[in-house]
Amino acid sequence: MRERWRSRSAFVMAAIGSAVGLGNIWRFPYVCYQNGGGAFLIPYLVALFTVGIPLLIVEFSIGQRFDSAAPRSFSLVNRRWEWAGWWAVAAAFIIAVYYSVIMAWCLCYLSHSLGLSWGADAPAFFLQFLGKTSSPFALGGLNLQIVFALLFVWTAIYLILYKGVKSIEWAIALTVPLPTLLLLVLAVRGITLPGALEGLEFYLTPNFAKLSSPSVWLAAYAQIFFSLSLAQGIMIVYASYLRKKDDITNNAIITALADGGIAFLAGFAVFSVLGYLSHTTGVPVEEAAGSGIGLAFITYPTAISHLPVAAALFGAIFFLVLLTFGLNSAFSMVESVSGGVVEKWGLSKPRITFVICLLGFLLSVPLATGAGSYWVDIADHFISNFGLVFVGLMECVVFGYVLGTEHIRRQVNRTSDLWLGRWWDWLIKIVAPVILVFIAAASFVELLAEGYEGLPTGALMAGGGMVVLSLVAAIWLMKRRAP
Amino acid sequence: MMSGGAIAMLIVGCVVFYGGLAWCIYRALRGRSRRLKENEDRR
Repeated sequence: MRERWRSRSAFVMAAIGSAVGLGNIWRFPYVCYQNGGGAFLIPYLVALFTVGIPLLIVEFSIGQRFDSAAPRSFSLVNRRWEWAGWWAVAAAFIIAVYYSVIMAWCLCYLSHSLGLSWGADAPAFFLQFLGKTSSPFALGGLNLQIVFALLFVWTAIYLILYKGVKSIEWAIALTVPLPTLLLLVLAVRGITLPGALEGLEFYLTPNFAKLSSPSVWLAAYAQIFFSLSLAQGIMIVYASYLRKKDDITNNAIITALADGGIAFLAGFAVFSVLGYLSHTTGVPVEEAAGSGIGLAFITYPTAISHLPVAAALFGAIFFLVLLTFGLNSAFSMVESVSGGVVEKWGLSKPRITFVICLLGFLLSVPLATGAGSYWVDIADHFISNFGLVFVGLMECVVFGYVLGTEHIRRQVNRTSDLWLGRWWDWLIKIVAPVILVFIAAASFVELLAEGYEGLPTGALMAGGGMVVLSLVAAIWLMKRRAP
Repeated sequence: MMSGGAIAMLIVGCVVFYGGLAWCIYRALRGRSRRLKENEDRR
């Protein structure tokens, strides 16, 4: 008999934990600042309600309807489409591998923050910590500190998952509220620092003229799509543990608003501290502002060093927030993979979870070399912008057209508190696929025109190869016979 | 001091994200208490 969530709140917390990841902390505030400040909330909310929530409803309802992970769900719609489910699972596995490396960095920085080891020169410390080489093809040495951190991360993922839903419920009771509260602490501390309001001014001041630019709208849709853990089979497998009578629509809206709310809060924690950094060092906020790895491991540590009191404590809190939010997302990705494998081959879940975690650990070890940060960046760019977008497109086609949105809508409306109208069908059949095609096309044109981060063509081709490899692996997995 | 525009967007963000979240949770709780009452009535 299939496991079930003990309560509705357990499912919602797990979905929020999966959706809220590193991107909420280090991507949203900067994307917001770059694309019109406070005015960006308008395209962001439009994207949330026209694509984010509708696709989340599809994934929740498919999981609940078929009681299965992504591969079997696609297969139950039509056997020929099973590969699309495996593609989602393969993408989730690749993301889990490089995500674990970033979490390992966070774990190392958590210990470094206790002694503020980066000193006055955080950029140099980060390069030294990574042992970063001059090219993605020059591997350099293996950083044992990162390898041990990786071992810790993958062990934690295994321990959270091996008992199935029960152990996930136990983990999310801690790993969702704790980092949210700590983020609130960081935001409150940040806002009370001198110069914080100037930083927040950059984050929130609306520039409505920017809304006429299509790139701003595309950025909003991309942010929503990548932030909600869509197209990785995660929400499908989590929803497969729901009971048939459980609500879908309201749960999807709660998940999406909590994801956006945490990202909005993260903006206060980040930009208030950048304002303070600008106030103390004289570096303008627009120069200090950044996103991704640079913000987390260089700019924020620099700002933390300038705090008047308890700098080490706030540094540790920041990296603990990143680590716990990242862990929630990582174990949900592994759950998506193990769910698919267990259903197809009927293997023991603890055993297959162990094998996946071991494989994930072994594949992440090469990323602990001096070239690792290049490959983390390349994998993230290609799997997100192409792999996930294509899988999302497949979901719109298979569930929207082959299964039919009317069937899904009727099923959702039977159990949900909030009613879906026919407009929802058009969002899944027309709006979402068109937007996804635009995201992939814009990324492809940008890649051809500008390359990516000055990386050599061979590295970019390897990135494209990862997407192709994940597709080939998906087709291969589909063709393996179930016993 | 923050500009009027920034304060307005701060209010919009808080109302939509946190107000919206609170409203959805309220609906969920109301639905739950209604279902519990229906179950009691059936008994």
